[in-house]
Amino acid sequence: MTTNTVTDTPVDDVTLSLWHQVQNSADYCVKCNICTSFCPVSNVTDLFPGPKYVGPQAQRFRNPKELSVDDSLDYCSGCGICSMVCPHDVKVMEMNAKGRYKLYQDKKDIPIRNRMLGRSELLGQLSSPVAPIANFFLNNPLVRILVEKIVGVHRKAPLPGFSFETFRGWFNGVHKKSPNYKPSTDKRVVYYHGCSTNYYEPHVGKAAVAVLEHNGYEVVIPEQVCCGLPMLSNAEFDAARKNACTNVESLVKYARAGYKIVGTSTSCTLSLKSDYLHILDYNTEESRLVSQQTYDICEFLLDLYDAGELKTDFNPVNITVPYHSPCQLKAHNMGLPAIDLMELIPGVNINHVQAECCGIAGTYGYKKEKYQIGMDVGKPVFDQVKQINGSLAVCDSETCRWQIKGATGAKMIHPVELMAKAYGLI
Amino acid sequence: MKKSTEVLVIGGGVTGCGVLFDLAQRGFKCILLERGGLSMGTSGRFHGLLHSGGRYVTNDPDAARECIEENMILRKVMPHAIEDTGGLFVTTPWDPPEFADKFYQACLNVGIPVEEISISECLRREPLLNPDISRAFTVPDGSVETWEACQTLTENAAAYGAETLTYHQVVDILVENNKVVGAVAKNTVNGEEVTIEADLVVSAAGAWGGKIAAMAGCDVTVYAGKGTMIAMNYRMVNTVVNRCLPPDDGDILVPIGSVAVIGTTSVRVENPDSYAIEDWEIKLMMDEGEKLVPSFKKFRALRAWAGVRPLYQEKSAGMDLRDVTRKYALLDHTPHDGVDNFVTITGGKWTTYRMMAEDTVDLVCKKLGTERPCRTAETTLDPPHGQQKFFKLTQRLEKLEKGELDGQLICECEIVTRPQIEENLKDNDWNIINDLRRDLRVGMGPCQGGFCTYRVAGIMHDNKNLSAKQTNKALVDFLQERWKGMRTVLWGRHLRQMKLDEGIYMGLLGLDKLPNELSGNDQARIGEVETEGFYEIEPDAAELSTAAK
Amino acid sequence: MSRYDVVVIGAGLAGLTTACQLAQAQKKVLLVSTGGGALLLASGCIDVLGFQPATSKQPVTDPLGKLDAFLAEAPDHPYNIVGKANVQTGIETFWEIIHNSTALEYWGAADKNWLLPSAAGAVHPTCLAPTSLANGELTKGGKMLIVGFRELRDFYPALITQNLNEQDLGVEAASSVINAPEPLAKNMNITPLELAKAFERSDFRRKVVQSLQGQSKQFNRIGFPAVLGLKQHAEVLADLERMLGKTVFEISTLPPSVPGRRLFEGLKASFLQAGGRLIIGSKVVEGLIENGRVSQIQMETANRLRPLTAENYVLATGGIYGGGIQTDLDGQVWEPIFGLPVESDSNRHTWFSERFLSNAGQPVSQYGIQVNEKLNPVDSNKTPIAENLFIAGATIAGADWTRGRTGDGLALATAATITKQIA
Repeated sequence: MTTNTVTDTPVDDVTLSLWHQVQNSADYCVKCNICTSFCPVSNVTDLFPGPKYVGPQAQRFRNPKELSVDDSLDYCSGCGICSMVCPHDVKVMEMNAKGRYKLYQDKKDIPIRNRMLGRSELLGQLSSPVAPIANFFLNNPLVRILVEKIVGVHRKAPLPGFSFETFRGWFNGVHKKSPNYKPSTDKRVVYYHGCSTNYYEPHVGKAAVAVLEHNGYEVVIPEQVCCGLPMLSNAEFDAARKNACTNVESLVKYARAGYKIVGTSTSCTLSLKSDYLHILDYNTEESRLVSQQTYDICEFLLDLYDAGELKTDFNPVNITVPYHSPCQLKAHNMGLPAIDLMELIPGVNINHVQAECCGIAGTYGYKKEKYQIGMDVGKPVFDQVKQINGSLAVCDSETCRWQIKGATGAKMIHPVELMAKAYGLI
Repeated sequence: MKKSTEVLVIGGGVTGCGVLFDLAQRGFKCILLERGGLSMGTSGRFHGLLHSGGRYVTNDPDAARECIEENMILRKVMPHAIEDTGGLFVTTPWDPPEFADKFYQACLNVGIPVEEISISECLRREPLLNPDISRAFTVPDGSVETWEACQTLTENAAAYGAETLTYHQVVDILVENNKVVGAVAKNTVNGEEVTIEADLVVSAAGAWGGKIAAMAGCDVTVYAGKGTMIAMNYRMVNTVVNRCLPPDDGDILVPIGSVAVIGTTSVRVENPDSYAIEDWEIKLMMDEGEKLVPSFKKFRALRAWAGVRPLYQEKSAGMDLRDVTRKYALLDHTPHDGVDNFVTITGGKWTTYRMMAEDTVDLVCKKLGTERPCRTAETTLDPPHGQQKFFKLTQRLEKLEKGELDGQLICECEIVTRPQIEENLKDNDWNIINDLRRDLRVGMGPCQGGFCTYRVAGIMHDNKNLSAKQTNKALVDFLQERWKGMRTVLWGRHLRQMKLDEGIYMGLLGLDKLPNELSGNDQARIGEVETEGFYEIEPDAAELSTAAK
Repeated sequence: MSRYDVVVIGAGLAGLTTACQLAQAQKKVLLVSTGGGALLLASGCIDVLGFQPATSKQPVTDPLGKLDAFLAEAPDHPYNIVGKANVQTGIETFWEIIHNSTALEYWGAADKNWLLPSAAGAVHPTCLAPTSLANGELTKGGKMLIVGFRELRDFYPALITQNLNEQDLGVEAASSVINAPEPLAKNMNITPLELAKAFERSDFRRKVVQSLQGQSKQFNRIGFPAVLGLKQHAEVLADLERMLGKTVFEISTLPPSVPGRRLFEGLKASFLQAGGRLIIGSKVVEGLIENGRVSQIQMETANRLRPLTAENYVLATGGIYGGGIQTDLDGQVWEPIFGLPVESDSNRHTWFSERFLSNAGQPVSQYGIQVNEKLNPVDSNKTPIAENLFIAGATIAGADWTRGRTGDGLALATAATITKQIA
């Protein structure tokens, strides 16, 4: 009689079960094609056959041992509208994000351009100290033609300008050292600013800090790195996972202590809330805890209002502004708190843009081969913005703001900037 | 109409097709009669397992030895119909732990390549399996696409001059002076009778072998052992997974094509043409599935079906069917019943069809006084489509993505294109969407024809000059055929799918209000050919089953 | 503190029209839906009563007139609970919403059915239809040309015309399949929606008309699959009619249907215009009933459950298809949000009839929530379970649309009934 002795190592079944939840949700698909009919990309180009086709439909023919992934999947912008409109809980976007990862794994080659776009933080770190020079070059059409030819970033793509002063520099320096800085002693909230606020738009962070402090909170800004979403959407899962770990390790201490974590970037907060768990399969007690405690800043403020704790000492602002709700915000599945919040301000008339996606989808619209698709996708948004108020528009997401600004010339602000203005804080 | 041939084969299951090819290759003139389409009986109603023999290794080592030998041969002769999934035998908490060692030893004794792997390795390969599995062994199981196999065999036989007549039901065996001299068959499509004179008749009618033998005045007892299976919409495993225990209900999960099949029950039925899929069988399969794959019941069951195993027994006895040998029976009716020129081959398993055919044709040679060696074990068959290499799940998608499948995607679930359908329609006289399903897998995916049936009907109408009524009838019949398989497993998400399909065909298309009554010549070319009882598997007819649990 | 007067769960016809009416009545309304509603899959028409008796193959021409006979035949159908008056109000209110606040045009009245061609060539009796579909009215007779596109797999003109002609409906139909012009030419897997977007380009339309030149002369009407534009549908239709010099009509195709999408977008826009709040993509997973009232519901967001409160709640979750009624292997049937009682047989054999296309309706489709005349859910003693909860559309027991083709009428009638209670 033979008895084999076999050594064993434990398998993290929670992680497995989440991974499979996404892949297996293909099982729910009833082929109704609603996702395809709403997909902004497949509606403007036949280079992408649609989310059902590359997602739940193809999934049935994929063997994990030899996953076959169509190149056309690269044209998915990751906007997530498919998952949102699916009536049957199929995680279409998540499935396709994983497919895209596999696609680049197979190619064993992520273009340098994608690596660069995935590292907005590194670019910020390098360029911020020399912001005027960097901006000069990035605004130079000849330089942009070269960049397009060499790197593949479209010459007209709406790159943001670098800020000479980083947000963290301001917060820890000017702000905290100001004689007026008297933080609250009983209410604290963690602010996850993300790369865009730190390197490109410190004014958004300043407005957020002002609004939170005005409402009696001490704002805590822990160590943090890029949320990883740009890497994730450029199929660099390993790099993204590394960032996710760093962030979770830093934030979990505060989450454990009951702090809420707010963010002004809808995509950063979505990463913390959901993508770490469902796309990167980074599913631990710590990551779940951080997820639970994360709030979009408008969500947080509107909860304060519902609890009767939000200050409403707004000065009237008589203005009609277009508001574009970013896909990455809609994917929070909580509605659009910014509208209700801004409408608390006397005189403000929010005109919600009725179009799905502005076309930038993170870094998608920057790419040479996708720029025009992005512009075609975003056209209804641009048209409506121009029609409602071509000089000023509101949007929660930085890349959408840059895209809409680039396409319409409108000044773009974050909802908390409007609030800070109404509070008389800026 | 009259025809004559040397050898007449009755039955278009895998055994009959195998016999036909072997006969043809050995130079016999031969004709095959099948009352429906190819592989429409038991061969088309099994779980698709290419046995390694592991399943029988402890209680029937001879059958196990045949399986492993044939398994290795079939991998060489028809790789395109086989997916090399590999197999696992796993000990779940519900299985007798001591059986594992017995199983392992028995595999070694019989010569089945077996290897024990660690549980973590097992779960790495198949992450959805029950993490509480305590032992895991690999064996060379695989899965076979039976329609592809039968079509391959008849087409390769045709290259040697053999003829295959589907939709021809045998109504009489011609016997003169205790000698079988031929058979009469009725074309079930147009009602025409065909008399075929033959020097020798081989009955490969499986569970129906008794009925055929009776037409020749011979006495053959074949039990019909019903096995119920469920196709799950999602391949939750990509390896054949067996419970490591003596053969039992629901002990196997087979990934085949784009689905995973859980099977089977084993219940003796009186009439192989009329039996029910019972609710306890469905529940049992789902419960057993849950033991292999936790959350199994959350996955969509697509459809259920039952096949009848032909289980031959010399003496009739009321024993457990699982103890009746899975070995086959080859009967020379000269000594057996005093009837000459008549041979019955029955029993056995899909995996051993080739060996059965070889033995059968050896006997035919002997009876016809000729010596011709069998070459089927060395002959790699020409695939009707595709290449001589193992089937892969990813195949269709890859073709599509590489742009090798042009034209409109008609069945999106199973990746079937308009040119494929048009090609297939050209080859067939009749217009039965179900035949397209067997050949191309049209309508076998999650929506069960919800979207593609309308498209296929539209194409059929345009390509074959059908009348509107004929098209309506073909459409209704196919949907009804799908319904029979679906309705025993309709709950949860699949029921929602059914409601969508209902919305399409009733709400949007109004198919239920369109005329589809056919008469005269119209009828001959359309719809399901209703051979008596054959298609009727009524869940309500529970009383038909004698051995309900 | 609650920001909403009403939370409506479900974005099908019942949910959207209820939400619209309430928002227009100055209520603060939040509509939450798991995904795009079933409207997106439907024909875009409003079916009130198409066949009476349900098994008849003769279409009903006067739905309101035949309603009493239908009610007598189907005493368990919820039309009996809302009553004929609410059916009529529902139809009228829908018409008003559409005409006052959307770019769509619907035609018809409660006492007359349109008889329209289906994509299989059957007669589709329906009460309200958008202009483009209503133009296909079969009793108008004359000669019609039905045009398909080689690239579109969801439409078979020859089958349609042959079925229409063989039924002796008084029309003479002929078919034609043309190649789609650029930019869709030879793109064999286009969806109806892609075609609809292409039709919004004037060059595309011009080329389509050019391909029909010489063919269209002898016909009174030209029919297309329902792909004639999405947002600019009215312009597309008018332009085609001008260029062709004929009446142009559409026939609804397989899901997702373009007319369904137009209606969905129209109702959505008018709801938002009236100040409504809409969340698509979130699931309401739990509702709490305390002391005969719903006190709160829980909505699933990206990372946590979010409680929602309102004065009133409308459950318009679309029956079995929509997930409003759930079923399982063990024969259990339940309502997943509030756990409302559902009378059912746990023997699954009794759930289905032998035929797939069953005019009497599958027994399982009759399962749903028992309601009183206010449309509050009731228990087996007919006692209301929650007085601020209202059930709309297909989640009500007996609301099986296949019976007589009554689904849209019921959605509108229940929307009207509920609006009366809450507004």
